[in-house]
Amino acid sequence: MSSAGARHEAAIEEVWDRVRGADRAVVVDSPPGAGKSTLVRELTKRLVAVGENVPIVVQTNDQADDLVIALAKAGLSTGRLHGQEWTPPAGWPRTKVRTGTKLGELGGCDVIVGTAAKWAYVKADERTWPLGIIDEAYQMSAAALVRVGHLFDRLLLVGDPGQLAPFTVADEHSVRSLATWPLDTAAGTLLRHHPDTPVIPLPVSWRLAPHTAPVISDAFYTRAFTAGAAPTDRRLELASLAHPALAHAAEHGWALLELPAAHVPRTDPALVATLADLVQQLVTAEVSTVDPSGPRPLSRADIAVGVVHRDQKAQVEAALQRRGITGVTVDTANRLQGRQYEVVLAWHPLSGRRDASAFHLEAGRLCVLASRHRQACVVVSRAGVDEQLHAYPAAEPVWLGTDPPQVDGWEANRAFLERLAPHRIPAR
Amino acid sequence: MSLDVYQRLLALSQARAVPAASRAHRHLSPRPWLLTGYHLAGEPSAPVAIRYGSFRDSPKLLTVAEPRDRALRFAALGGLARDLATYLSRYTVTEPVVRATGSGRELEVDHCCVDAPQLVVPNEATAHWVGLLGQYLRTLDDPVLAAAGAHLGWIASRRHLPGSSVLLTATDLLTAHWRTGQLPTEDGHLGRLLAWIEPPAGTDAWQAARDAEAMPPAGPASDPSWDQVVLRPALERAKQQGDVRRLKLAAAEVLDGAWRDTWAAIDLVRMLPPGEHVAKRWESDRWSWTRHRERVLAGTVSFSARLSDVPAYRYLHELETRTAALERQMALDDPLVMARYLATGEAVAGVVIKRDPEHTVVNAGGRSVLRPLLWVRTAAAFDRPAGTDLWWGKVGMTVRASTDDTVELMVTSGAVTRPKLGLLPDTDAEVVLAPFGPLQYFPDNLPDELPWPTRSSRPKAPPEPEQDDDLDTDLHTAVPAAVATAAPGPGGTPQADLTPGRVPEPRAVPSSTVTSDGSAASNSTAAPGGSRGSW
Repeated sequence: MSSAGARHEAAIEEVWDRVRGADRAVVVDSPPGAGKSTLVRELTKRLVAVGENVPIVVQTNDQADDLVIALAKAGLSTGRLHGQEWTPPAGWPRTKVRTGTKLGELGGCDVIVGTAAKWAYVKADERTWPLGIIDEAYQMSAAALVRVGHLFDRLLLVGDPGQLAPFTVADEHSVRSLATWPLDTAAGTLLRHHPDTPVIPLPVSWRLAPHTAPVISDAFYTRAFTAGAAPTDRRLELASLAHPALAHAAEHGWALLELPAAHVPRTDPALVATLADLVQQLVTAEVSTVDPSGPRPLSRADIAVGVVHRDQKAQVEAALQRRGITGVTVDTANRLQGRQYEVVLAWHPLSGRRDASAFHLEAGRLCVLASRHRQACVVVSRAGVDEQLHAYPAAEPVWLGTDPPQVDGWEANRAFLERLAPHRIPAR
Repeated sequence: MSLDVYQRLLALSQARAVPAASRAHRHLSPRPWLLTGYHLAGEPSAPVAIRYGSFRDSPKLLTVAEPRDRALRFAALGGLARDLATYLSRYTVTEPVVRATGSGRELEVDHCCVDAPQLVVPNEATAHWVGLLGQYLRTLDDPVLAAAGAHLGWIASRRHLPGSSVLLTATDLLTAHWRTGQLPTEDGHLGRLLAWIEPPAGTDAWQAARDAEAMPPAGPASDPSWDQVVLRPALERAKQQGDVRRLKLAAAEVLDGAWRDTWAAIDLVRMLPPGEHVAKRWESDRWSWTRHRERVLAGTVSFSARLSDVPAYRYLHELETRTAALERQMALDDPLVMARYLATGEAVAGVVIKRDPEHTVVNAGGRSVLRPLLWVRTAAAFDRPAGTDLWWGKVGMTVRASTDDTVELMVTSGAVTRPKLGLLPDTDAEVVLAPFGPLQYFPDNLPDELPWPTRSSRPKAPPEPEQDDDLDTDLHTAVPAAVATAAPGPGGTPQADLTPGRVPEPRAVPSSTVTSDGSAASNSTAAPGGSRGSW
C-alpha cells in the first residue's frame, strides 16, 4: 500500500476509534475529494454491522440522493426521508431503499438519510438516536444545527472547511450584532461550544492530481494535504485540434482562459459563449479520460460548468440547450459543493466586475469551483482580475465576538491567481 | 440588465429622479407623529432641540437651555414623553379577531388594536437616535420618562424588520419609490433627495441638490458653524439670563426645513395608490403594537441589548421570512417593481396565443394526469432554460421550450384538475409570469431551548434576573442586568447608559444592536397575525 493510502487508512481508523469512544462529538476535516463520502459510507456500514441505526443529515436533496444510492449499492437497507415535492432521480435503486415524508414510513431501515431542513420536522419525542452523522458540516449553518441537534446524543460531523459559508437572504448586518451568530457553520459552532472535540483531518485528496492539489491546498486550506494519485496515474487525451485552453489543461491540470478586459454585466454574453464553445468541443471531440482503471471516453456526466450566480447558470444552460447539448451539469458554486467531475469549466467570480465585493471574494466560492475536477479545470475570466484585486483590498469589518475566517478571501484569490499565472491563455 | 441601473442612468441623463414604483409600499398613517431634532455635537444623550408632533402647522418645540444639565434635560424630555403618551393613547381601541389556534382546528377570539402609531423621522441617523433616546429613557426612575423609553424602544425595534411601517424615515420612503442619478450614499441626504424628485421650476436636479446642501442639516447632528455662530451665544444667553427666546427662535428656524421636507416626503408617497399587501403588513405591526401594550400594562416589558440563544435564531427566521415575503409582495403589487424581474429575464410578459387544456402526461405511478399546455408570445426572447418554474398567480408552470418569440409552458399546479381549468388564462390574454408563486409558510421548527451541540457544556452563569427589583419603575420595566450594572444607581450617567451591553460594540455595526429588542422581535413572531397569519 502506498504511504498516502496508509495515512488515509490510519485517519479512518482513528475516526472509527473516536466514534466508538467516549467523545460526545467528533469532527472530521476533509479537503476536496479526500474520501469523505467513502468515509461516511464505510463508518455507516461498520455501525450497522454492530447493530446501530444510523441517521444521516445532509444539506441538499442531491447529496441525499447520491448518498442513498451509494448506501444501497453497499447493501444497506436505507430510508430516504424527503419533502412533499421530491421526485426520485434517474437510476434510483429498486431494492434496499424505502422512501417517505414521515419517519413512520421508514420502519425497518438501518440507515435514514434526509436533508437538515427535513430532519428539522422530526420531533425529539418521536425518537432520538445515540449517534447521528452530519455530512457537509461546514456547509450547514448553526441555525440548521439548532433545529436537529436534540435528536442525537452524540454527533459525528464530516465536512470540508474550504466550502462556502452559510448565507442568508436577510440583511446580514442585523444578525451580525446578535450575541449568538446563527450563520456560523455547524462544525464551527460545535467546536466553539465544545472546544475539546477532537478534529481529525483526512490527509490525502484522491480527487485532485499531484499537480493540482498543491494549488488548492496552499490557497484555501490551513491544514495542508497532498494528492493520493501518482503523477502518471491520470491523463486526458484530446484530439489535436482542441481549443488551446483545453489542450493546456489536459496537460497541466489548469488553464486560465482570459477574454479581453472589460466591465460587463453579470451575465457576460461573451463568457457564456466561450463556456458553451468549450463544452461543445468536449462533447463532440473524441476525448478520453485515463486513470488506473483504464481509458474510457469522456461522457457528458463527466463535465460540469461552475458559475457564480443563478442567472449565469440560466444563461449557460440555455446556450447549451440551443446547441442541442444536454446532460452537462451547469450549476452555482453553492450547489456544486460535494460533487466531483472529470473536467470542470469555471466562471471566475471576479470576472468583468468593477468591484470586488465580499460575496465575490469569498474563499469558499473560488475553492469549490476550482476543486471539483479529477483531470482538468479551465477557469474562464475577463483579464484584469489581478488589478481589480489590488484596487479593492478587503474592507470587511471585523466582528467582535466572532472568530475571523480561517482563510482570508482576498489573499486566497490573489494566491490562486498567482499559481495560475503560468497557465494563462489569452482567448483567440 | 438591471432595471435599477437603467433607471439611475435615465435619472442622470434627465437630471431628474425616475419613478421606481407605481404603488406605495409603506403604510402611511393618516396621523403620523413626526420627530426631527438636534443633539449636542458628540453627545447623543443631550438633545438641544426637538420638533415633534402630528400637526404639520403647529409642531411642538422642545429646547434645553443647558443640554448638559440633567435636570433641565429630563424636564424638557418630560414634556415630549407626555405628548407621546397622549398620541399613543389614541391607539388603544381593539377589535375582536377570530383566529385558529394550535393545530389550526380550534378557533378563538383575540383582540387586536384597530390601528397603531407611526413615527416618521427625516433620515436613518435620526431613527438611530430615537432608539438611543428610548434606551436612555427607559432605565430612568421617572415613570413617564421610562414609559416613553419603553415605547420608543418598541418603535425602534421594528425598524430592522423588512415590511414594518412603525418607524419610517423620509429618505427610505423616497428611495423605495424613486431612483435618482446621484450616488446611493448621497440619497441619505433628505434635502438632496427631494431636490432630485421635485426640483424647483427652472433648476435642474444638480443645482437644486447643491442648493439643498446649503440648507441646515436634517439632524440629529447640527452644522458646526451654526453651533459656533448661533447656538453657542443662544445657549449662553439662556444659561446666564434665563432667556430662552433666542434659542427657541434659532432652533425653530433650523429645524423647519427638515420638518417640512419630512412632510413633503409623506405627501409624495401618499399620491401613489397603496400596494395591495401593505394593509396585510400593517396588520402585523398592529399585532405587535397590541402585544407591546399588553406587556406595558402587565409590567413585563423587557429589552435585551443583544439577542442570544433561541431568540437569536427566531429573529433570523423572522428576518428571512419577511425579506422574502416583502420582495415577492412588492413585485406582485406593483407592475413597475415586477418590471425589474422582466428586465433580468426572471419573469416573462406576453400574450397567450394557444392553449391545450386537455394535455396529459403519465406520472411516476403510471397514471395519466392532466397537465395543460400554454404557448405565450413574448416581445423578447426568453433566455432561461427548459425546466424553469414560473407562476401566474396561483397557477404554477414549467417552461418546456422557448424560441425567439414564443415560450411553451406546462401547467404543473393550481389548474391541473378539470374543475380548476377555468383558472387558466384565456387565449389572447396578456400575462406576466412571475418567478414566484403563492407564499408558502414554513414553521420555524425551533426547539424551546438550544440543543447540546450549540451551547457550552460548562456550567452556565446564573441566569440574569428577569426583573431587577431595585430598578423597577412603576411600570415594572425590567432592565437587563448588563445595563443595570453599567448605570451607577438610579439615573446613571448617560455615558454608562449608552453602553449597549457587556460586550463592546464595533462602531461599524449599524444601530440594530442597540435597538434589537428581544421581546418585541420574539413577540412579533408569536403574534397570531405576525409572521404566519398575515404574511
